[in-house]
Amino acid sequence: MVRTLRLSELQAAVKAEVQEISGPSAFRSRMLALGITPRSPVQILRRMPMGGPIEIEVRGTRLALRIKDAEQITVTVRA
Amino acid sequence: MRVALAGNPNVGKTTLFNALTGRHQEVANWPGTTVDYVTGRLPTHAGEALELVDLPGTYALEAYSQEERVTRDFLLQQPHDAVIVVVDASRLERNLYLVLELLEFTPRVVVALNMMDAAARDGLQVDAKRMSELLGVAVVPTVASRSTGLKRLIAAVRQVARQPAASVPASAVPYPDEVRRELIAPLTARLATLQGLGYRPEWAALQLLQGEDDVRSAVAALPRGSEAIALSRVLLAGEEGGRLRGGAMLQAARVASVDARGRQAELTLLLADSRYDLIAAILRASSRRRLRWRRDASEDLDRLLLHPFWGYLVMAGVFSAGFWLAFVASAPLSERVDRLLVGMGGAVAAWLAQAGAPAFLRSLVLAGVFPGVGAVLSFVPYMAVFFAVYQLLQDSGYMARASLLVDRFMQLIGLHGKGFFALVSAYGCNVPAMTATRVMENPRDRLLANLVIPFIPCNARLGVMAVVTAAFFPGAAGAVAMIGLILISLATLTLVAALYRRTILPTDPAPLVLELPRYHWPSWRTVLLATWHRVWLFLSRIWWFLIWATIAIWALTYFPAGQPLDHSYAGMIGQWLTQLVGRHFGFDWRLMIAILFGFVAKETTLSTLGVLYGSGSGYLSLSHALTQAMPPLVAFTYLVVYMLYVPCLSTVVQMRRESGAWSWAALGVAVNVGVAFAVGLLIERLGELLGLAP
Repeated sequence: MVRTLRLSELQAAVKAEVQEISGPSAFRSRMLALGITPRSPVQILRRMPMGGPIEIEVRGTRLALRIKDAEQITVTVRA
Repeated sequence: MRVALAGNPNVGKTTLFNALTGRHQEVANWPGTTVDYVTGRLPTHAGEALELVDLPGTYALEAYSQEERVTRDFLLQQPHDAVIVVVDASRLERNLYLVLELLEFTPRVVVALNMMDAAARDGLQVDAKRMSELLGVAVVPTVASRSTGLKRLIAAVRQVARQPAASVPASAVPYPDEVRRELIAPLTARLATLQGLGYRPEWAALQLLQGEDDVRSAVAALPRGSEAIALSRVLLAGEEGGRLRGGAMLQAARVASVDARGRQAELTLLLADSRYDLIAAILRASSRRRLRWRRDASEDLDRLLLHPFWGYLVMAGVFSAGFWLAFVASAPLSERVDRLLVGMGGAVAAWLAQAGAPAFLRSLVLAGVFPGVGAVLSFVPYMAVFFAVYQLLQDSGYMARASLLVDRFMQLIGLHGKGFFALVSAYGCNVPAMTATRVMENPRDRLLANLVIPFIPCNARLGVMAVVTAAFFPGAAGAVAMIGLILISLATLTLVAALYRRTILPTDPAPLVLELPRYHWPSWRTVLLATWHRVWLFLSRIWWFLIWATIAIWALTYFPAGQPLDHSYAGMIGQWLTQLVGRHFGFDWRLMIAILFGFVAKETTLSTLGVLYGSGSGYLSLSHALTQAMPPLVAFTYLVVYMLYVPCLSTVVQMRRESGAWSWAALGVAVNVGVAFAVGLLIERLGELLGLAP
């Protein structure tokens, strides 16, 4: 079964796949340049306390994103 | 021959630059920006002279931050013979994206496959030869930190720079056939017919199709350029426009432009996707990962350094140590510089007296020129140690972690984690703190930080505040007063930042994107060179201005010659200011003059007060004179105003430099002074209400 959710809602250490990126075009092209593209595998490494940013690993790189921005990215998880 | 050095941030690009150029470097400020860039010359014993330009790190050719803008503008507009792209061999998947983008833009590219040692430790083997065949350009393995592979890199660069452009094929990326046939090919053909197009037609076509503004305006300026732009719209709308010309084309574009935007976004995604597909294919063919069970040291460190409890504790420790080094340990050095200059000033004045020079000339030297030079030079030890610490934290990878830790709290004042270090370091000195705001990508965020930094009391102000507080509020009351002052400054900063956000600097939708690079030992050479460049830039911009300002202030106190201080021009201004402003606060003319002179440098305030109250600046005599002259409430009000208004001329000059316009600096100063007096008045009236006035 495949579940679709926002990157911000993903649990830590669960492997997921990027589906779609919405938001302003500057944001989308930045995500593309950083390797966050449809079909790229992604997982959350840790969350900062009190709703702070999340640290993700994508294409061998570690990035930090704010929750608000991570909400723009949809991912799927194979259950 | 001019060669640009490009690459993602944190790939060892600057280390490679330093290894190549050694001491033959020159730092400059990019016109119209606050971005500094460094150019260097290669030792010329072999072949043609080679100039290397270290461009700011960038993830992609399309610009996102001001630094990336500089890189883009350089590559698009400045003549260069070749580009070296530095890639991190252990992060190839993301790094090759920029390589592919650059390859579409120019054929004269050499890839420096850097950090080969780190990749090998990860169990990653990269076949540079195979990768070179697949990319169609030279790929040279290097380890910049150990100066390995440099000769081969330069040899490859010289070769690429010599070869004719036509011999290199255009884009290697296998975009979907349909896209090539229906969009890229017809537009490329049309662009190739334009006279004076400075770019490769296929690259320009890709940019136009993605709605890239710079390229569109460059093409629009060419004869028949607007037709090519119109064609891009027609094609995006799914029509065939290859044969249309002139008016018919423009007409078709008007109809088509409605749905072009959605297609542009779709296309951008498709192109990026094709690039990553190619990257995956290249990596499959040219690299091998031997599975090796090995603990990732960076991850181990992060478990501690990003821990919800220990992480903050370590951060407090690291920053305290850094600031102690920068602002406490360097203080004796600053004092020595100061004393040296005072001594020299005295000696020169004595020599002038012997030579029979007029009194005003001696006074000018003693009270004008030397203090001016001193004001500039006493900053140097602070700046040097501060920037070294800053660079160390940045290069080691720790700064990105600290930004991540504090981001949530920085949002409260409308800034992101990257600004934290700058704001905290402002307690040491506002001037380098303003430079440290440059890590923020968004110009609006940076501007906001620069406008509110002066509300943070620096070392110099804290020192004066401590002395005055101790005089008026002995014992524990003094600590309460100091804490009260700091809380007032924090509240003011938060409110003013919110006010700026609501009015002239609304938040950009720009996201915080922070790469967390692998930790590594910074190279001393890189740290020291960066420090030297920053200090030098600061000095070269600021000295002229500061010296003239000090001389102007000296003139105000000295003339009309032979008069006592309260009858000098400065005294007259002080009296006038007391009438205008000071009397509402209970400030007399001497306090007003002290406030006025505080604009130059606030650390001089104690000695100014000493002169004005006729007590000298010895602690006991000064505190006695002050407590005789005013009640505690007036003194506290004075401290509030003193703490909040413009710290010194250097900050104003720095604010101008960082914001890029005198109008921003003027606004910052006006708001600063206005808010300082408004808060002061509020405190004074509150104190009266509470019956604290005598």
